[in-house]
This record gives sequence, structure tokens and C-alpha cells, in this order.
Amino acid sequence: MLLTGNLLQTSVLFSEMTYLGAPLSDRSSEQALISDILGGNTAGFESLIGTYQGRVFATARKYARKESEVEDIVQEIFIKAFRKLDTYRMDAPFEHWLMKIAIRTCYDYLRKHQRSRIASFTDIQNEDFDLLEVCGEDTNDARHQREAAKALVHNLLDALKPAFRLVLTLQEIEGKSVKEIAQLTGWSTALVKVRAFRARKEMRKLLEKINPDAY
Amino acid sequence: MTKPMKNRDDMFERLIRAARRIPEDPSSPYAFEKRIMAHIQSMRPVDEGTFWALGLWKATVPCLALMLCTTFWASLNGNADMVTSEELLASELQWTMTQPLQSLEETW
Repeated sequence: MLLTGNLLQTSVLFSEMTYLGAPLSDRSSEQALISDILGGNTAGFESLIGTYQGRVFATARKYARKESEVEDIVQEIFIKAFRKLDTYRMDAPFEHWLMKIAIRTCYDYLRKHQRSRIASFTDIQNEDFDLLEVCGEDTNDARHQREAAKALVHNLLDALKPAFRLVLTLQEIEGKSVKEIAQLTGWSTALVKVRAFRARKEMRKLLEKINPDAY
Repeated sequence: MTKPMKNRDDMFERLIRAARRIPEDPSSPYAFEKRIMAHIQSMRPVDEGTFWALGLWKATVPCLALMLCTTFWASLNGNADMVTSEELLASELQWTMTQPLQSLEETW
């Protein structure tokens, strides 16, 4: 009984230490580093970039295709983070705070680069849709098909309005909850729900255009 | 009637499934953090002395231009005014010098 109690206490302590995404020691050393940067040692920011750039690059690649555009977005994210570092309150992991900036910067990018995407969307044929089945397969034979499938997914998502694309990516593809999306985007939960509903509706409507003869 | 809806929903599900299967790519260009740091260093605020020196240096040309314009304008319009002011000064001096004599004459 005593052993069970100790185990329970240990597991509770461990979950408290890790519930915010990073071990407590890591978080406290990170907070010390941030305090140091705010104190004037700007060189310390390089270490933060090194830690989180992979995560930020992966996020930016979901919204931009050209590598030069991805690099511009990531650069903007880190510069914004540096400028606003004094607003980070240290009561949540730095990664959460940084990802809010990342998502909002990606959204700004989508809004700025909103092109007439419907034209390219209507070029997609029903047969092209079969490519989606090879998406994510890890064989050398399917490598070029995999790239084509990835481009197709981007093409389809590009056809959506920026807000719809963002909410669809976060909810359907990344599997985030409405509350999490609201925190990341700064929208109300009601607005997230409305936009998610409209995004799905819009995407289904656009998919009808791929091959109207099929109906 | 239900076929188009089913097809459309199926396409949507296939799209989402495919998008989920795309692996995340966290790779970054070589020394990317150095590039950002160089950018950050270049935008760091300068100290007060340098700030004023840079501001004043930038203001040199407009100030010189303004000075030249003002001088030119003064040389064009200022001659008539200068004569008038000299005359005014002379008359005032004369009045000041002769005023005691005039008051003497009035006393006599």
C-alpha cells in the first residue's frame, strides 16, 4: 500500500514536471537564458533559434511551398519573437509562445499572398486524385509520386481562403482542439467553430469542381 | 441523389488523410541561426551619442541648403529694408541729440 502510494506520488510529480511539454529543469534553464537575453546578452538568442528552428520550419512549410518563402517566414517569426521577448511571461513553455507567433505570421503570409488560386484548382483531374494514395509512402519507387501528391495537397489547400486553410490545417491535419486553435490564433472559440465548419463546406464544394461529370 | 455527396465526402477524407501522411520536414539551411542573429545585430538600437551624431550628420545638407536659400532671399529683398533702417536710425539719433536743445528753446 505504501509502495503504491509512493509510486503514485512519483508519477504525479513526474507529470507535474513534464505536463507543460518540457522537463522542469530544461524550462528553468530556458527561462534563465531568456532573462539573460532580456538583460542584454542578445547572443543567447542564437541558442533559442537553434532549439526551435526545426519546429518552426516544419510549421512554415505547411503554408508556403517555395523554400525562399519558407525561410522569409521563419526569419520574420524569430525577429518578431526577439522584439516581443519582453512580453513573454514565462508561465507557459516558450515553445507555446513561439508557436503562437509562428501561426499568426503564417496567417499573415497567407493573407498577403492570396492569389487567384481557383484557376489552378480547376486544372486538377479526377485521376490526379489517385496520387493522394501514395502520399507518405516510404518507397523509392513512389518518391516522385509522393512529391506530386504533396504538391496536389498544397494545390487543393491553396484554393481555400487563408482563414479556412489555417483552421483546416490546424484542426483536421494537425488534430488540434478548438480551444488550442483559439489560443494559437487569438480568435474566439465560436469563431474557430464557425470557420472550421465553413472551411470543410468550402473544401467539399471545391472538390466538386474536380470532376463534375462523375455526378 | 446521395452519390455526389458520398463521392465529395470521400474525396475530402482522402485529401485530409493524405495531408496527414505528409511527413513534417524540420530541416533548416546551414547556419540559418547565424543569419538571423546578423539581422538582429544590425537592427539593435544605437547609443544616445551615436543617435544624435547620425541625426545631426543627416541634417547637415538640409540645413546648409536652408541657410543658402535664406541668404539669397535676404540679399534680394534686404537692401531696401537696410536703407530704411539706417535712415530710421539716423533720424532717431538726430531726434535724440536735438531733443534737449528743443526743450531749452521752449524754456527760454
